[in-house]
Amino acid sequence: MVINRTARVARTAHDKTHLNHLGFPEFGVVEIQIKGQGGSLSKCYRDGSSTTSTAPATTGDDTFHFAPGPQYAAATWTADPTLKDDVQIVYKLHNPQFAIKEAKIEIFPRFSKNSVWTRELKDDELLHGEHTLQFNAQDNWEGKIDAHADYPDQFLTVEHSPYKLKLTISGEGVNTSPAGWTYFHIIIAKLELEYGPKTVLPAQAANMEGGIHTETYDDLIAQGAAPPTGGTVKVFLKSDIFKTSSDDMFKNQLFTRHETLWGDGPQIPLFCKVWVKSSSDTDVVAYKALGRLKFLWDWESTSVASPTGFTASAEKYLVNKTKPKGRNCHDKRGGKRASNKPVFPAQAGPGAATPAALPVGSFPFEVVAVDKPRKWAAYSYAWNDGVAASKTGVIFQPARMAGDEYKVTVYVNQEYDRKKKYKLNVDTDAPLPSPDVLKAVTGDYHIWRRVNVRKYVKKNNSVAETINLATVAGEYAKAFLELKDLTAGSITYVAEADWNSRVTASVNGRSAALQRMVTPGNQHAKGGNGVYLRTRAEYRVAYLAEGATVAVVDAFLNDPSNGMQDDDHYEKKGKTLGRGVVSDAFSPEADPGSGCTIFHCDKLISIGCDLLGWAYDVPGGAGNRCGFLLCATNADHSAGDNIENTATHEFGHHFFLPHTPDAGEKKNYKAHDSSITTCIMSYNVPTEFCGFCQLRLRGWSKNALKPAPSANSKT
Amino acid sequence: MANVASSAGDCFSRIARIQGFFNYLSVYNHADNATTFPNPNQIEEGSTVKVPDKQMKAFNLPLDAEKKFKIIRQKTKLRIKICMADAAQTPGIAKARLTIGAKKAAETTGTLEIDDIDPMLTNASLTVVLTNPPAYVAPPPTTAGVANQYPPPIVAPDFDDPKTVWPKEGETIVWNLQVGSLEPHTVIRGVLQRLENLGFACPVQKVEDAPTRRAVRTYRRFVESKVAPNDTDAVADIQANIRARHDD
Repeated sequence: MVINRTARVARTAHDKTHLNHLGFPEFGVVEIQIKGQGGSLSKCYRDGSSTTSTAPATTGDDTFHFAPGPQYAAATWTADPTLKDDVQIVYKLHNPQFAIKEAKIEIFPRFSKNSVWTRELKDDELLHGEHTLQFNAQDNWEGKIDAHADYPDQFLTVEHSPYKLKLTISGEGVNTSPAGWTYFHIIIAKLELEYGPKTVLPAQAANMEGGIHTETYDDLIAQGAAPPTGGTVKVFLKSDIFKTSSDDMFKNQLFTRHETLWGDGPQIPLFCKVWVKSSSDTDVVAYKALGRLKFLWDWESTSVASPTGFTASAEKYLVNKTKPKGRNCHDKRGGKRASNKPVFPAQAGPGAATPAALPVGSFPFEVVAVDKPRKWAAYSYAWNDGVAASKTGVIFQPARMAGDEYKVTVYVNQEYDRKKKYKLNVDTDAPLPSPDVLKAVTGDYHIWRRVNVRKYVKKNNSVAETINLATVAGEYAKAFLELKDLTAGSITYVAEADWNSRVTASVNGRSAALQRMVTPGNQHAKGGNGVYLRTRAEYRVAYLAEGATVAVVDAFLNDPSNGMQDDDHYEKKGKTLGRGVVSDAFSPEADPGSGCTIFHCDKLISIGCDLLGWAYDVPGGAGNRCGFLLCATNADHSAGDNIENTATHEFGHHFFLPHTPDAGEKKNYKAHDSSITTCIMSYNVPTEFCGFCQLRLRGWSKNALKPAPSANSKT
Repeated sequence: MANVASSAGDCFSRIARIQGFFNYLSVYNHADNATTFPNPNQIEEGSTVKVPDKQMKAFNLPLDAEKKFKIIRQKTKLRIKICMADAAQTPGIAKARLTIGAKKAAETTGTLEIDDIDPMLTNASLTVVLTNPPAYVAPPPTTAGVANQYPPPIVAPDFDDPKTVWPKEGETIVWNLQVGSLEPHTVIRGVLQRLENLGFACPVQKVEDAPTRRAVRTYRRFVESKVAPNDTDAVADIQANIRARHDD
């Protein structure tokens, strides 16, 4: 290029020596940097071949960052105009002759040829030397840029960080340093998890019991106001679902009723507060600096393997094949591992404008499923204004399967490559490689079912023994089912008048032959047995006393169709009568709330009976109330057996568990571990629930399990 | 004695020649010319120069004898120093050629001088080809990162902003020299002419305005390292300084 110039020069007379100095325009960028609060400074770059008479500064750092835009006060989470992290753009020009004709400062995000902000330098901004770029006659810049679709509030955001701030110059002359630039970041300081208010949970389906999700929520809050950062918390799923007939035990109702009640699982509103790092390295709530930053919510299956046996085998089903891997209940057994049912369900979010207050009955944050390959995770977005500004969140919805355990991690999903592929969207096992400040991790959420034991009723205080409920609960705890004792140790005794009147009413409604079996008088005062009956011999005497002839009485007693032909048949007859009368006498005592009531008498009938207990269906129970009758003492049990085992067994029936095949009914119903014979649901001296029962109690589908333990495993 | 109004390109050497004097001092030393014009080679356009009457010079000479009269013609020079904005610095020069009339000077040291120019010539040219700039060198690498570093390390190739177009050849600067037109530093135009000669963006005019003030401000920022917002930025502020920088 040729530069044409005009010069007016002087001749030099023979006796003079003066010169004409002729110069040409030269210019260049010396440096450009950003100054933050507290002396932080970005690092300046030029091409290595650039030269200016003044060398650029060598101070500064590539990690320079600041927090653009207005801020909230952390204590009140409301805007505080006094809080800001303004910075200064400082630059130095080598422009001794004012030859720069065009100069502009631009900001480029990565992978873009287009700047998101441009400022043309004019007039005195082009003078030689140091400058601080002015914004509305002020030195300070709050990070505001030009209107741009990727920057909803016209502030630079974490989403597209880091940035390049570049000063480019041109003019007529020798340009020895055409450009200078510096890099800077908008970075996250920390994430902080909290529970959102339960009012944001979606309205529950009509077929669910009212308030189950909020009850779960209240239980969580009781264990800690904020999500755990370590250890384990229990997520209790209220699960007062009971058989309403014996047939229910021979269906998959434990699974289907639990499914109906809990659907895709409990709903836990997890919020995340997002903090941005200021230029002075303090954590601030710069709520305009997040933009459409994605937060990736990930979950891990952290359930611990059962020690051995049936459950361990079933838990191993495709344990290392699924994404994510683990021992949580597999989709094939009704769980969410490998399921397309999201643990973080999609949410519509607030729409274009954030409302002034958190919505009621709808979740405030937008949540979408992550695309392949990490499609089990979800992205959420933060509010950029309002009460939830600088917050984001999801509804955490683990599977309803007791025993499942989840660890939740929220990551700042910011790093992407040239193809806009996010670096965290991979299908590798958690935890994902991410700096600690870019994630928040919960402790383990352990899913439990919960059945309430609301009332313990004894016939009277003659019933000497008392069930140790903790022992019973301990057995169910192996299946992660909490028998929650709401009795607080209190025992209700049926009032004498109530008992006697109910017995009388029940007996009077039966045939004369059956009425004759009942010992006359005050049944309540006779003792702890359920119903006091005459012996067969006493029955004959009583019948004769009514005026019947010997021939008539003996013919009646010996007629097999009357079921009293000998003492054994008489006892069986009495057993049937006793069930009816005792249940009539106890049933009005059943607690009206959902859950179990324990009824307890020494024996069902006074004339001897092999019945230890009875899971009887409370009239009008509607499947959410049940009553279990214990009618035996420890002495009535075989060696090694006791009333707690009986209680566990009878509760099991209410929880839809049938007897083992060797116990009698429906031998082909395959609902037990075929490798053991001592399941509590057997009539053998029991040890514990078999694995099949345990998994059913956890909520797994019976239909997906097989009696042989090894048949349930697959690698 | 006559008064002659100077015009563009005039200096005492040229006026003397026009007026028939062989030595400019014959005019310059006359009356108060010397005090009015401190530098005989820098005359404000339109100034009045006093030209003495030619004096009869009488010699007593013997008849039939041969006598030689020697007329001493004083030479006039044109001296140019090519400099950077910092006048003490000389740029790298591949070649430079000064041409006035039929006379030429060429060299690469930055100082070009033709020591016997015709003072009647008012135009000259100077062509300077600067040495080739250094080959393009990429910027230094950004700070290396470590695994899981946050903020993440800067990866310069991730940025797609336009890359520098780096010149491969030295610039050629062609000056049209208006010889004799440099006015004294004591007048506005003289200061502005010197600013222009030194490469400053500056109008050459008789009045001061915003562009002249900016040029002065620019000069002061660079040469005097003065950045005073309340400066008047008048050319008078830099008269002495720029004379020394340009003329010495």
